[in-house]
Amino acid sequence: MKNKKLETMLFSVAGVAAMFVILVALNYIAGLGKQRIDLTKEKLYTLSQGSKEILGKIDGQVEIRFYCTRGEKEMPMVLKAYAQRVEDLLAEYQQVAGKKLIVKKLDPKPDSDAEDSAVLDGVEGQMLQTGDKVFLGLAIEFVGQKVALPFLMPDRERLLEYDLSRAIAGVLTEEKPTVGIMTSLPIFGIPMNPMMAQMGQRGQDPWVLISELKQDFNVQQVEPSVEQIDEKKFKVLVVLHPKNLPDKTQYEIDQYVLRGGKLIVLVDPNAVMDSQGGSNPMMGSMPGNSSLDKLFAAWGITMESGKVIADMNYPTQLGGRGGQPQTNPAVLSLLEEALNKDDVITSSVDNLLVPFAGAIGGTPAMGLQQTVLVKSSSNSQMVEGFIAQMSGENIVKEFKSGGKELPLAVRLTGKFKTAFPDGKPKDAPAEAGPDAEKKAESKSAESLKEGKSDNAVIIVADVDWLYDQFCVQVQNFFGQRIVTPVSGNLGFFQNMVEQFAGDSSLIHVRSRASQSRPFTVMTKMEADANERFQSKIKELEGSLAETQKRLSELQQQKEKGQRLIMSPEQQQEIKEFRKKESEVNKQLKEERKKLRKDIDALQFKLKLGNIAGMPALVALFGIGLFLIKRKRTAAR
Amino acid sequence: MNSAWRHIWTITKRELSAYFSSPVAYVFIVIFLLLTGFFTFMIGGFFERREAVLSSFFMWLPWFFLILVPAVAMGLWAEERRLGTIELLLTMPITAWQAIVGKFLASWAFLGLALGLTFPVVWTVNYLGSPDNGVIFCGYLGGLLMAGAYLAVGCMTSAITRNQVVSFILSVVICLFMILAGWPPVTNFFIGVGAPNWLVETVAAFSVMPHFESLQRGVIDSRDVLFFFSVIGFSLFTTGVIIRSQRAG
Repeated sequence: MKNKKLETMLFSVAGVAAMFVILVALNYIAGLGKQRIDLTKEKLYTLSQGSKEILGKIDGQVEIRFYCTRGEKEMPMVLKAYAQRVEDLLAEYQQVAGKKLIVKKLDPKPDSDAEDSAVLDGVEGQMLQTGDKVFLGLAIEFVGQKVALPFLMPDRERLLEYDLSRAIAGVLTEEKPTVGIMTSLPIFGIPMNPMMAQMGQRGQDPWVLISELKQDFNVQQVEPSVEQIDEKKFKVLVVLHPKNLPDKTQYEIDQYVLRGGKLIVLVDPNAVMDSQGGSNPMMGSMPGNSSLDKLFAAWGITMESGKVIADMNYPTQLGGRGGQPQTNPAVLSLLEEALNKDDVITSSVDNLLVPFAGAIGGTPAMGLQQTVLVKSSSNSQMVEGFIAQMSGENIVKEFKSGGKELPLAVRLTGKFKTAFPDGKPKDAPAEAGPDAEKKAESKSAESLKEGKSDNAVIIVADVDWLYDQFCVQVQNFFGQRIVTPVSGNLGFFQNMVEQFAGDSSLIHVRSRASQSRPFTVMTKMEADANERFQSKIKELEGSLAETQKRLSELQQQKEKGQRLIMSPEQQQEIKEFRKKESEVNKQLKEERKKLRKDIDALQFKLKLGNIAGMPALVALFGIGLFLIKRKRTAAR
Repeated sequence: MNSAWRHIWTITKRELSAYFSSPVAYVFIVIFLLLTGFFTFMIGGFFERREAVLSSFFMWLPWFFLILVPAVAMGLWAEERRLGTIELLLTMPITAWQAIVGKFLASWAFLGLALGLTFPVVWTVNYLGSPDNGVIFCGYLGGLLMAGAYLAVGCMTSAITRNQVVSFILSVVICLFMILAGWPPVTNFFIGVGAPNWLVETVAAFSVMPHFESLQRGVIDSRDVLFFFSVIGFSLFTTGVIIRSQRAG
């Protein structure tokens, strides 16, 4: 009997132990080939197609060294949580790439080997206010090529996957494609010269656009006097704000396109950046207006000079006089509806900030198709650029919707025909003479009349949107320059260049926004209240202005001897104003109270419903059921 | 096989109707709803976050379940043993496994109902903003799986003893271990005292928290789901072994 009991017990314990081992093993094995379903709206935890494509290109083994301070005390909570998310994402990369990607996690403690390695890799520790030095960066290496992300800023979280994929793509490509930029604006910066220094002036930094482009491309400036633009050298040519380009240059651009070169044209009917003194005297013309007239005519494109789009659906609040916000419908805060969601260039961009943009009109020439990339809403109209620039108030007052969506960025695809059917435009008379004529003739024979194959050109009717102020915010974080996007502008531009430069994988990666999800109901309540405050404040301002006017009138009426003493009328006037002021203040206070009360009431209702509502229902249901049952039993 | 499921279904139905024929079920649900509502809105700072997310709701679930699930599970077998009805149950034409799975499913469905009745909070965030309902769904799935894991542990402790209070306390202790094992303050403590990495990781692997948190992000990962089902499977298997050994003894 005793033996049997022991046997049973042993059998049971052994069985439990075996089951335990089996389950642990099963969990381990399952961990190797995990499957996952990402139910988040933006597929936050799934690598985008572009990243997968880039990982697919790895031909060998890429190593990522992830440097992260692990100390409980040193690492601030925010950075720690972010580091975890970075690790999660790296795990995703590893999952997709398999053995082609190795992720090494290192904790660079002071005076450790890991710290030396971090320094060698160019990953920098950041000194916090607490005096602790923390690391949160990584280095990516592939057969001798190395790219470092010195410090991963939580601010750039929405671009984390993009940064990682771009860095991986960076080590994979041996040579960066070359992008040529022809411009009349000082986007490459202005170096400081001694003359300027004497006059107390500083040079100008290049636009952030350039430094961002340089991370992926070999960027070269192309002078308007260029003899020939080599489509083999320049994968993409960006023509930015072409002001009165000589026919010869337009011809070179024309031939570049016909030979298959990719072209991005940014023109502007009213460039703010230009009128602010950034113009190039070499190419001087009417300030702020640019066009590629000859080529546009050949392509069937028009753009009205000096006229910009005002859109009541996408206005921007600007700081106006006296710090009062002012609405300007000509500074477009474009949202997703304005962007072509079916096109790779715009599909991943969620907003654009475009000041004083022109509209692209006309009908594309035979053989060309037009794809609208960005457009205004139908609640828009064309207005004079200089009026729009002065103040948005007038536009709002006199707004009359044209009822038409106006394209402001398009792509033309198809077989392009030359804008110079007679061949290369003849040079200035200096080159005249029989020899020169011969030369010109032979060249014109070489010139192409039609594109060899289908090509594409992108045209955007604004240049200001690429200026730093409309793209990014530059912060100084512990001595490091941190650039954070304030709009999708840079992303949009980079997408264009990348699509044309050949490798379009990165287009599918950029900006997977982890959207914030505010309580819209309360935001609306606050916005409504704010509107009411504004009208009260305006009322007060109006009465203040009136009082001041009346006081000065009374001042003039006073007799000479009375200068220092206020007349009874003036005193009365001031008294009345004070009364009015206190009344409005009281009303403002009331409004504020009302807003607080409304929000509190809403919160209270929701709290009550959630905390007590359902329990009360369940309790009532239970009691009801109990009573019914008792009644039934009693009847028996 | 079909008859096995029919037997399990019969037990499940019987147990479920038994829940609702006594006031205990209503009291339990009311307390659970009051607690979740109070903690989400008054302590979790739901409105203060001003974001349409349910993190202030899900963060308390492991702790509520820690107390409430063992309370549901404590009577499952202990009461049968105390009253002697276990013998009666096991002499019926059903196997011990069918009885165990049937009882477990009934309690799990009951907990699922209690969790489901918190839906006004989902309606509330949808009214106030536009939340990611995929994430919310995953959070609920995680909550349900966690409740199942706790419940299975409760089944096991309930089978060990005929005293419900002992079962409750044992169950709470095991579930608390399962929360704390992977909780950063605890793992960091282990690292601090010089425990080797593999040991810390092994202990942490038994924790429900990383798996629950992983689900809360909005991702259904096969490893997380398998973990919860492993805990349920193992605990129910052990319950079976215990009941079997008692009957044999």
